Amino acid sequence: MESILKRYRPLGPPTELKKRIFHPKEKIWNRTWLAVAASILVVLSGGLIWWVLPGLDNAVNQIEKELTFAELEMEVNHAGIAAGMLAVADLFAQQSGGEEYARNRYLYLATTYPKKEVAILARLRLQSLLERSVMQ
Amino acid sequence: MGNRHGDGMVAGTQRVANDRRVLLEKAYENYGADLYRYALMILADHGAAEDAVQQAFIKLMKIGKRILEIESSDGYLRTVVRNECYGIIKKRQQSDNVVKVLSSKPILEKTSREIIGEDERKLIEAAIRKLPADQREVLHMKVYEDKTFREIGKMIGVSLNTAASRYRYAMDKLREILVLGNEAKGQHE
Repeated sequence: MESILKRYRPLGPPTELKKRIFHPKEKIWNRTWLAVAASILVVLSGGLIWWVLPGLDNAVNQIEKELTFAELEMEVNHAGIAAGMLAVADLFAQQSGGEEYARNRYLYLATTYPKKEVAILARLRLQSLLERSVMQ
Repeated sequence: MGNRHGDGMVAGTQRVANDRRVLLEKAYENYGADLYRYALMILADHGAAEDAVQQAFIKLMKIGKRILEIESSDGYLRTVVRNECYGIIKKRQQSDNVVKVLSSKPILEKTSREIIGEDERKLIEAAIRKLPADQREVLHMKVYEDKTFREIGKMIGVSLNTAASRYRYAMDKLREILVLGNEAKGQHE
């Protein structure tokens, strides 16, 4: 049995074991260096974000303001158109034979601008026309 | 004046530490391979053997007075490595000191020039791993270090008879596994 065992022997140590025992600081130094580099990178990234972010924020605010102005402009335009249509419908309502056209216009304004003041006026005008036609 | 004295002491301490390191490196060059093989046979695992040897030398670097003993013989070194090995085994919390998890990395290499199949090495390794650590230790010192039972007993702190018994149990168990193809079931426990 011993002769069989003697055909072999236990393996020796890996070559890097000596370095690990007697020069471990190199590895620690590398780790320390990596940690320092990573920290610097994090600080720089944070600083960059902090510097860029207010500019981004301002740009977004500017875009929001422009959208609000555009919406206001559209509202004013629509209000102008609606007011004009109401005025025209009123003129037709006062003319003989113009009641049909006036009725259609009032109906259009009431359905197209339901939440606006012009719709309330258009419904009142429409009601008045209906009452007049009934009395006649 | 006080600072100069302090600086001198620091420099002196550094010099002593460097001398100690140099001596220990020399000791590692002389005995490191044998100590590693010894640890490997006790632990049957390369990672654990590396840890044991590394920890042993790191501990030695912290002491100063016994540096001459380290330089002169491997007896003190072996004791330190042995203590580390059995500390690792204790930590594993294994009831019978048998390595249950088989490491994939081989622990033996061929020394003979005969053409021997890889299967034989694997069988021998598997059988050795089944032995308790204390039997592997004595087996290694007898077969691979050619020590007498008296020397083995003195080194590991047991009697000559105990060392011889452990060796005999180990060989019987290996014979049963390898020659007869049976596993001994606690026959010699």
